Amino acid sequence: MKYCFLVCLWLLCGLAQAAEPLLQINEAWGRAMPPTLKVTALYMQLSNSSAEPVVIKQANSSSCGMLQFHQSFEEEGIMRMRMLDNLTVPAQETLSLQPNGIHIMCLNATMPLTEGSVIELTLQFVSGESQGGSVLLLAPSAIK
Amino acid sequence: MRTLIIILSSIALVLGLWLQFSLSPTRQPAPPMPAPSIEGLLWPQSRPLPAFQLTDQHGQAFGLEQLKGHWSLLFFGYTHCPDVCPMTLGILRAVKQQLLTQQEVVANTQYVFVSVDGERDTPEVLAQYLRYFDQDFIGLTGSAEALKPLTDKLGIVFMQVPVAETDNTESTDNYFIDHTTSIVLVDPKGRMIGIFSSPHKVEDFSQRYVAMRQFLAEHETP
Repeated sequence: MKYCFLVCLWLLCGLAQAAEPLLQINEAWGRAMPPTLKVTALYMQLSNSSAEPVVIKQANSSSCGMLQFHQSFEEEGIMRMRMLDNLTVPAQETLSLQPNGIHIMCLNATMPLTEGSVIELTLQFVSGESQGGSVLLLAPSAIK
Repeated sequence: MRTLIIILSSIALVLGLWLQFSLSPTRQPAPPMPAPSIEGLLWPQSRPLPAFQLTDQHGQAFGLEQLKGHWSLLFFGYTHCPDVCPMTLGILRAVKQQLLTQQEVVANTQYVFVSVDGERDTPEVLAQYLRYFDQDFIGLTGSAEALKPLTDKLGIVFMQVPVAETDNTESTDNYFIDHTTSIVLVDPKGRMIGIFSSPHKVEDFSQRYVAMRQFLAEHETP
């Protein structure tokens, strides 16, 4: 009986470890947009407490026709925006997705991008695992 | 004897006048006013704007005449811009609110959003968009050709960039626009007199704009 209890405990610990998300997602927010627009940017803090880098190869959401990783950057006084193939969160570090920098772009939104609504998304990692997250849409004029 | 006195008096007078001029400090023209150390202020330089013809969000014609008589902060962007443009308009909105307590210094300021995407940004789209930022913001739109006199003079650059990996050509979101994000200050004479380079921060922007207006109020004739 005693051994059975210990084996069950060990199994439960193993399951708990497996269920632990690869990243901690904090301060997730996006920008609400007027009804005529079907595109918006999503921001968040992605923290990786593990000893290995975590690579996100793709993001999906039923609220967006397409999600892309983008980076805004200034070059010779011109603000440019380019797509990134993936996002890498280095080991023991936090990757900031923020305005005028790296962000997740929601294109061809399938829902109204109104203030207070939530976009549910799934991050797909190169390891084959995935993780869900919720992004709250703030006012179009929000500054963070 | 009388003649001698007259001659001596004349010599004394000439000598006195000579001494007065030679000993008095040299009169030089006033040194030119040094350019102020307010980042972005172009004074004493300025760049007069040419005539241009755009349309505002109410469908009314808007040109150089509508800039004259006001202090205008011009930002160039487009409504389908998901990241930088709403952020910058949000900052301008916060600047406007912050400056409510300094109305005597920054009176007569108009905030102008100039679209570089005349294809998608109709006056109606602009009107709906700007409502989410500030009812008083002015939105301008027009063809690339109509924009050219203004953007060329102000050094504003913009170019379309296709959205990568999208085969949905019917979507209106199939291109973005790289563009200058500086905010330009135009004075009531219709001249570019200042420029705010990005990144923009509310506190820094407000302080510099107030400093520019205070300086120009003291050194410019109305």
